[in-house]
Amino acid sequence: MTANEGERAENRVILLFAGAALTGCLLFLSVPLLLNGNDSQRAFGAILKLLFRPVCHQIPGRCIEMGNAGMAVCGRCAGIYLGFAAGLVLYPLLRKRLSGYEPRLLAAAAVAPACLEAVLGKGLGLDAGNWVRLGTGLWLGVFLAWVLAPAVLDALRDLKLRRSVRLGNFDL
Amino acid sequence: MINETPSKLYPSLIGGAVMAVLSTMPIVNLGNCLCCMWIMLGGGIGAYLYWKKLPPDAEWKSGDGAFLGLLSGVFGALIGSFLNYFFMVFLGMGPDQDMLQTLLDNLGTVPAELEEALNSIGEGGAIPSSTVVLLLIANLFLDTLFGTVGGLLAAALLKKRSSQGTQQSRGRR
Repeated sequence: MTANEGERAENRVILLFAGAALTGCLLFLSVPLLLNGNDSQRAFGAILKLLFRPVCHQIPGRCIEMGNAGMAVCGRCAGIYLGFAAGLVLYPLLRKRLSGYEPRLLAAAAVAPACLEAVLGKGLGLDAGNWVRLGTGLWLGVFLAWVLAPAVLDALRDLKLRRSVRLGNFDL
Repeated sequence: MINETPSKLYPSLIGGAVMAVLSTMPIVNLGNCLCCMWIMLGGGIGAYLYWKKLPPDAEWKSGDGAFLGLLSGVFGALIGSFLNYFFMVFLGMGPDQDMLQTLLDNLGTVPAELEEALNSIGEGGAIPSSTVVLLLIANLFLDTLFGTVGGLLAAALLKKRSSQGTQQSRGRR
């Protein structure tokens, strides 16, 4: 396998993860629509909302509303998950540029706006609102994807190497 | 020369225990509302403790971080389910009533057995065995998923990038 083919294969893996992340996003985005629907749709929406309960507080005032029902996750979590999916989609296009940055730097850049917003909110009582929380969450999610994507690829390369060594196939 | 790698069991057990305790303690467990923060922290702690034990010349791989996060998640789910069961049965601390009521309201007509089971979860007391198994499965899914993410995150943060953009082993300071 040439280097280019290897990179393309890795990009496909990342896009597969992006597809899974987008599916998760579609699930929590569909909850308010389902809760505004007929009986069976409402039941399905309620079960979906329950499934998202362990990962988010779902405080009504913190969830962005669509129709008269809130999303299954709060504004910040929605931003993080949407940003994570977007970051994974963008990663294959930006990977060469991103490879020059320290993961710690990317992680610090990821959390900075959310921390600032939290400090301003809790410390000075400046409530930024759900859309700002969505924005800082988006930023965090995108950078988190850029920190995690190379680690995932490294882990997969490592797995492939171990399997090849076990099978006696060293053609990597 | 063959490097002796440290055991992965103890770091992941500690990571799993931290994950389970923080995720089940009342009030403290609200931290999980931020993208399962405690679960990711537990996975990260498992990976970090292993990294600290590595010999200076040993290679630190992302796969190790992911595996330690995953293993921490398995231990975290087992310990956490036990603690959850303990809190529910002996201290009567079930999932919040509002959530279950919302579910029942939106489900419309539900079989009496299901309604009874949901109510019994909310009230504490005797917990059906099926509920315990479901809780364990849910914990296993969440803890292994987010634990692995935590382990991978720790692996990425403990690695150093070379000027060519490839990740390299950092060794211990």
